This record gives sequence, structure tokens and C-alpha cells, in this order.
Amino acid sequence: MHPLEVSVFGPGVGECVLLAPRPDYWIVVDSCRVDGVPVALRYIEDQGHDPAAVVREVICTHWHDDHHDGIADVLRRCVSARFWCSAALRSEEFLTLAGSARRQYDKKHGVDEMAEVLKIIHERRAKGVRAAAVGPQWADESKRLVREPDFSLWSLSPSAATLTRAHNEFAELVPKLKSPKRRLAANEANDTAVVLHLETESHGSVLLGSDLEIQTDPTRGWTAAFSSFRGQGLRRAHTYKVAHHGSKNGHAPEIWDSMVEPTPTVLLTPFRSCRLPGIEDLKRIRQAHEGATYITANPRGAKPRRRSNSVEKTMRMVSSKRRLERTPGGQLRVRVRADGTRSVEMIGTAFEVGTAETA
Amino acid sequence: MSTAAQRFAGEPNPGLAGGPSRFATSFLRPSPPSLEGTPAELKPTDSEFKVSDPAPIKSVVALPAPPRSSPERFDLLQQFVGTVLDVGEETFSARLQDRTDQSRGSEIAEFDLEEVSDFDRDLVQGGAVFYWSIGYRISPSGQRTRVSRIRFRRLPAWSRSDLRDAEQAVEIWGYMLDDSE
Repeated sequence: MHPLEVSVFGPGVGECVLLAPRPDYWIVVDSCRVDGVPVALRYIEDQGHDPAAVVREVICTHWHDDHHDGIADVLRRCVSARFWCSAALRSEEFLTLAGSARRQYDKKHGVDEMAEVLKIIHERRAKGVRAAAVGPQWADESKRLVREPDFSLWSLSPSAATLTRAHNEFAELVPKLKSPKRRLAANEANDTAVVLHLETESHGSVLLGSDLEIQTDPTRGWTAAFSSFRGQGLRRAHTYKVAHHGSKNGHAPEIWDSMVEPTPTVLLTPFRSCRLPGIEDLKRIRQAHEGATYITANPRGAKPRRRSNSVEKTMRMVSSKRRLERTPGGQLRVRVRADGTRSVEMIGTAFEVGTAETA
Repeated sequence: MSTAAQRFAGEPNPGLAGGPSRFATSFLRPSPPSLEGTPAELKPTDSEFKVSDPAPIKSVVALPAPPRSSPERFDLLQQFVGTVLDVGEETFSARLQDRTDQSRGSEIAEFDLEEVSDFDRDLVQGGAVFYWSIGYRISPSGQRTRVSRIRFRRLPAWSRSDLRDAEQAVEIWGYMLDDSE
């Protein structure tokens, strides 16, 4: 029997997770690029598979640059895949934003990526492919996205209470006549993130936390996601992709107490733009469980290559803290066999978080 | 209403074939130019062409040429385009893209808000775009001063035609929101 594979990629800014419950059924969750190429496509090809044949689901957990870079390229190539995104995007306001992509000042803000996705889906739908086969499909709380004989994929968020807030935020972001063009920033997008739970018949469960955070309102955030988890009677996960790059806001007690096993394999990706995770975050995560914690790359990043002396001196005077945003990055590959044994491979810059990093 | 004399001072004169240059050149001549075919209201009066008699030249003395004063200039060594990511009480963080060497990857940097001029301070918001230039300012006398200059960009506003694209998206893709699909 083939092992279940979970691969997490993180070059410093950006995240992509691949789930392969079967060799012929790959699920791409979010996207990032390395050297301009979506890591998902490159990796699946390197494994000897044709993404067009084996990728069956492409899921964009939320609308943030570091989670959807290259997702339109992934969908274009994966002609057998359905596209899923947060139900928070299911609004005329979001379509209007996507429609404004060509006229936006900054083209790298995400609405261009979503506009491309919508164009691809529109072309496929125009050829008569049904929505159920191509999307967009909308993920929200307590929804079974995939039901196969040997596994199911559930979404545990966003909650209904979150959707209203999200639609209001999109309405504020819609361009207005004579208002200045600015780079778009969806501040509450993390609230709309899709938490995923893969439950297999024989290889246990996997929890992907996306960027969901804790909210004081129990009808939103992790408390609501936990209600969804409990309501469906889902099993604890042996592998957990940590929410929101290990931030304090993503560290909900419910996750560690009830949603993951006591000795899980814990996987992290950094987000260098916000210096996540910090040393305190890593300490807290390690203390929360008795398993092993891994990260795809150093959260602090590397120093940029030196420039000429005149330039370096001036730059140091003006900005003392500079780090490269992205590096080639690493991959964490977890393989779970039917007997429950798990192996973790650290590829590239990935490493296990030990006492040295948290000292 | 502008007079012909005002037009001589440099304003374009759409009423004349050849435009202002033909008139301006003519004005330098001691005798009035031929104004055949010029509309009457544009013809200069006699007094506008009156040139006083020059004084007789007795001798020419060669004076040393005055030193050439070149304007101040800026020799650019390095430039980044920045996008503000986060604004704190005293600092802001930004993503920097190297415009001088585009093969370099983007960097994350932190700046003191004091580095931004008062004129631009209100523009420091998440998503704002700025240029960070480093170079030498060279004074007219040749003195070189190394400087760092941060200038925030004032972005254009959304126009009606911009918004038309956005509105059409709902018409084209709106069916995807439908439950029945």
C-alpha cells in the first residue's frame, strides 16, 4: 500500500502544501514560486507524475500574496483539477476587485492572480465543463470537499459569522472614482482562511492550519473551527501544519488539546516579512506537544549580498535591519505508512527545530 | 486678450503658419519682417519694432571668461522601489526591490519614520510606494556629498474607464456566484 505523503514548501515568504492520499490523487493547497516556477508543479513533475493527470484539487486557503503566488499557473496546468477557495470570496465585491486587476497600480497584489484563476475557470465553463468539476467551489465550516472511498477532505473554516465581515471588507477595498490607487491590503484575510482536515481510512489524519488566528468572538477564528471539527467527529491529526507561521495569534489551545495527537509531527513555514516565527513562538510551539517540530527555512533569513562600500555605508545608516525576503527554501516531506509509522525528510534549507534555535 | 507683443514673448500663436519661431526670428532683425498675409489684429505696431541707434564702438577689450557654473547634479549609485508593509509608532517596514541590479531578490528592511520628509509623512501607509535613492549630490563648485533620499509616490486616482473594467467583471463572472451552478 502506498504511503500518504504530505509535503510542505516555504522559501521564507510563501507557502505551498501538497497532499497525496493516493499516487493518482494530489491536492495542491496554496502556491509559492521558487525561481519563478510554482513549487507544486516542479515537485510533482520531479516525482515522475504529470500534474495535468494527477492533481485533482487546487485550493487557495485565503487571499494573501504569500499563499497564492503562481496558483493560476498551477490551475492552468492541472486541467483535471477543481478550484476551491474561501467562501469569503463569494461576493460581487470580490469579483469587482478581481476585475480591476488590469488597472491596479501594483500588479503583484493578488487580485491579478485571482483574475487569472477566474478567466481559466470561465474558459473551461464555456466549454461545457460543470461547476462541480472545475469550480470555483467555496469552502467554509463543516464542509466535506472531497469524499473518496479511502479518504475525505474537510474544511473547518471560515465560519458564517466571518463571511459577513469579509464581504464588508471587500466592499471597502473596491476602487472608488477619484480615490488614489494603492496597493491592496486585505487586513482581515487571515480570518477567512480555510483550515483543512484530511482524514484517511488507513493512514490517520492531517490538519493544515492555514493562517487562521484566534478571535475573541467565539463564532469566528479557531474556536469556531474547533466547533466544526468536534461537530463532525473528526479524528486527531498526527501531522499538523502550524497556523499563521507559528504566530502567537495562531496558537489556539484547542489545537494542541483536542485536534492533534500528543506526539504529532509539527511543520512550520516562516514568514520573514513579519519575522515569524520568533524565538518565543518556537519555544511555545515546542512546549505545546511531545512530538518533533520542523521548519522549511530559517525565519530570520539571510543577509543580502554586499554592495559597493559607499552604498553599504549609507544603507546601514538609514536602515540597520535588512534581510533577504526569499531564499531557495526548503521542503519537509512526511510519509506515513499504513502501520502508522512516519518518516520526515528535510530537504534544502529545512531543519528540525531544536534547543539551539529556541535558546 | 493677448496682444501680438505678448505672443512674441514666447506664447504659441496658432493663427500664423510656421508658428512662433518665424515671428521670434523676425523680431531680432533691425527691420520689420514681411507680414504679408498676417491678419491685421496680429500685426505689430511701428513702436513695437523701434530700435534705438547703437553707440559707436571705439575699442574691444578681451575680458577673461567667467567661470562656468554648472547646476547641482545627482549621481545615482543605487535605487530601490519600496512598498510599505507595516507602520509602527517610530518605524516602518518595507519590501525593497533593487532597481539598480534587478537580478537581486527582494529584501525586507526597517526604517525610522524620521527618514521620511514632513512633506511625505502622511503618505506612509500600508501599501504605499516609495523610491529610495542613494548617490552623490555634486554642487556647482564640484563638492560631493553622499545622500540618501526617500520620496513617496503620489499615485494616480481611479478614473471612470478604470472602473468600467471592474464593473464588467461582475457581468462576466457573476454566474460563478450562483448557487445553482
